[in-house]
Amino acid sequence: MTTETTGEPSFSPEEQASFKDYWEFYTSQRPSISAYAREELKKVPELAALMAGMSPEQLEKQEAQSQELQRAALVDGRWGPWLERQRALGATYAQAGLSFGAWFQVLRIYREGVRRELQSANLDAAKLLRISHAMDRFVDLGMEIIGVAYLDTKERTIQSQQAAIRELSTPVLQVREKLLIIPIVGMVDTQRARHLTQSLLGAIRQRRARLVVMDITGVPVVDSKVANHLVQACEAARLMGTRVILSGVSPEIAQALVTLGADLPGVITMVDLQTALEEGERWLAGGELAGAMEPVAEAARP
Amino acid sequence: MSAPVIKLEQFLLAVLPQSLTDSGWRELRDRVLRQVGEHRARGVLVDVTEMDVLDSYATRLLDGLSRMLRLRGAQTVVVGMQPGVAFAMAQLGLKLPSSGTALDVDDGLSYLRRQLPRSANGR
Repeated sequence: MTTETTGEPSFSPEEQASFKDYWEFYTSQRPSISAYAREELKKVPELAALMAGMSPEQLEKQEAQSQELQRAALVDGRWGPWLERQRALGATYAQAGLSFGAWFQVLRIYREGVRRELQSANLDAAKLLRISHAMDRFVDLGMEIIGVAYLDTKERTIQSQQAAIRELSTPVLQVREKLLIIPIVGMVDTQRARHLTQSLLGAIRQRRARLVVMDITGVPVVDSKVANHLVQACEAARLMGTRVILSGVSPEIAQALVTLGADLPGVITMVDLQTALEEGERWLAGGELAGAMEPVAEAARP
Repeated sequence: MSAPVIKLEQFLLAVLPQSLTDSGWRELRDRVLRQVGEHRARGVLVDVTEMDVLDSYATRLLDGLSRMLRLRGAQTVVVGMQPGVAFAMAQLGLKLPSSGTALDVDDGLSYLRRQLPRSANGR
């Protein structure tokens, strides 16, 4: 995870000194910067709503904490606690659903507040530049840490959702002994097709299926890639000694596949699930082929 | 390391180990081809349950064995392939066009028994 590999930043003594200068300037002007920032933050609807949800004491307390961590980092060079805090903030706001853009608004306002005071302060140009530069470094570092934590949290959410969807999207149903149905609904991408094939093969072994009906009535688009995956699934099942019937190929999909030249070689197809089940039952009961697959040359015979 | 070949009714059962060396394959092939004659076996079950990998080379050898056995008058059925092996083979486009396949030895046996009268009639 990226957040864990981001180590403590190391700054040269000069840099650390310029941070200290910045901090001293900031604290000397804090009341007016804070007042400006509060006014400006209220103009951003998302942030105003967030601030309205907190009591003045809470805000005061949070700011005091934040000030202390900043002081430790900027003056004493103890960056660890401050970095940790930024990470926690990024994760918290990602979970709360605060937009990423809102963070940039906060930083813009903060920078603007400090710059206004810098402009009106009577400082020599070199010092002014040094302070301004230190502020940019500091703010950018904070943004980097928050951003990475924010995106990591979002990424984790997406991954766990994808896993849940994958699990839900590939049920393998046993109709009766030796006969399984796999209804596929929705788009099939490479990852899903792979997962599908694996659960198909796992179910064949576990439930000793001799025949599997794969129904694609609910699949809106079958391109050559998906077609290839379906052929592979059927081929793998055959290697295990199980027959696969594909049902529910719509007129549109049939046309598209033939046009693409991907007309599912070696796959047994039936018009709909009902036909596939009836044929399958007959086939299993007749015992002509049940229990094993013949060599391809023979199996290809209708 | 080579594979045991067992006589089972009028068939032979070859149980392949987890992996086979080149010389192991050759020895297995020679032994099965010879024993088909000795026992007048009509079919051969090749049990690959133990195998974790069947690459293109092994697939070719295995299917080649099926073709040789057919010339000796015996049908071949490959049984017990693991899901992971089947998946990997399908992804690589590997097939066993000359071999029957079955879930396990039981299914393979009933497959061969069903095939018998047909081949006796000179299909």
